[in-house]
Amino acid sequence: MTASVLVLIPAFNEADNVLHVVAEVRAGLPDCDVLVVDDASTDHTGRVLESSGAAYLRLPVRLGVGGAVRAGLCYGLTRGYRAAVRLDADGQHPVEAVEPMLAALEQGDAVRGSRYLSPSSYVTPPTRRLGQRFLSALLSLLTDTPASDPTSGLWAFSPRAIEFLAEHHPSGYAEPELALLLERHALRVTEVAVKMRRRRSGESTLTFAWSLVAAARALLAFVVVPLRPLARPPP
Amino acid sequence: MNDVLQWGTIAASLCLLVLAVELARRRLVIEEYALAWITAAVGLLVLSSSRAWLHWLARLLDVAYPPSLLLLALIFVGALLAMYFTVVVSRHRRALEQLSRAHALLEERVRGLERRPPSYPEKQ
Repeated sequence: MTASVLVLIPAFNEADNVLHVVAEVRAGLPDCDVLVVDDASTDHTGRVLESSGAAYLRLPVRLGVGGAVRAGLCYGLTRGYRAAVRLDADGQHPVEAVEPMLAALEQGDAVRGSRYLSPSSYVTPPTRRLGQRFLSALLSLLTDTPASDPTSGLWAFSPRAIEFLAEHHPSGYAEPELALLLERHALRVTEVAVKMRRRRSGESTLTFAWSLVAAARALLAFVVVPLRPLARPPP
Repeated sequence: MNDVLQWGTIAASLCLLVLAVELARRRLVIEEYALAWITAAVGLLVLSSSRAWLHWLARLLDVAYPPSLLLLALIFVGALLAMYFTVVVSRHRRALEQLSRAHALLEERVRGLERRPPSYPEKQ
């Protein structure tokens, strides 16, 4: 029988980390289903998933994290999950954060896990933190709701949000744009404090150069998303 | 560079910038590719806005008539953009081939599964 909550793990070249994350989810959230979306990894992530017994989608071409999440949400939508939680495959997101986020879905359609709502030992490089603060200030201004961690990849989605994002989840490193898009379509976003960790091993695909591109993309999205016609009328 | 020429090139750069943003707004161009055009437009805008920089560059390149650098910049930026989008198109071509292959293989597997009688035992 299908569980009511789907834990969605987009993964690109995380052969060393993904099984640990899946095991952690299975141990900490035994009532949830897990789906890994392999975004056309070029390492042996695919082989690792085949032998693990975990449910997975293997994308034949790389779509980026946004496209991988969209594919996973399509899967969740067709199977009627009552909630979906996105965790990263690098081990940054603790499983203990999921239950409070699911509880917070009672007050909204999407919940973002924030590293910065409460003091934690998580250390962000100063330049990246400066960029996050700038995006946070802009996002808070555009949405009228606080956005303390605009680049967090830890999210929980209600059925309404799943239905909308299965088609409209933005591409690329689109976390800042995601919040704006949801609010614009009358899908309320709330935040929950979480304690994140450093990635378990390996290197992030978000290099300094890609961070600049992602920031430029976010700024462009902040201009065009409020000016676009709504993707669908708010219910 | 006279004022008419300068204001004309600034206006053209601004038009390019606004067009790129509008195409992104209408989802006719995805944001990543609109950024390439926006970067080009901003570069041309900066070059056409500052006579001092244009004259400095002309002296550096031994160009007698500085406004001709704007044409050179336009050609260079156009070539860069064409090269960038050639790379993008090539990537999409490879992706299309992979998807077509995956689709064809899946179709063949589905046909094979449909041909099996219901009682056919699964291979161990």
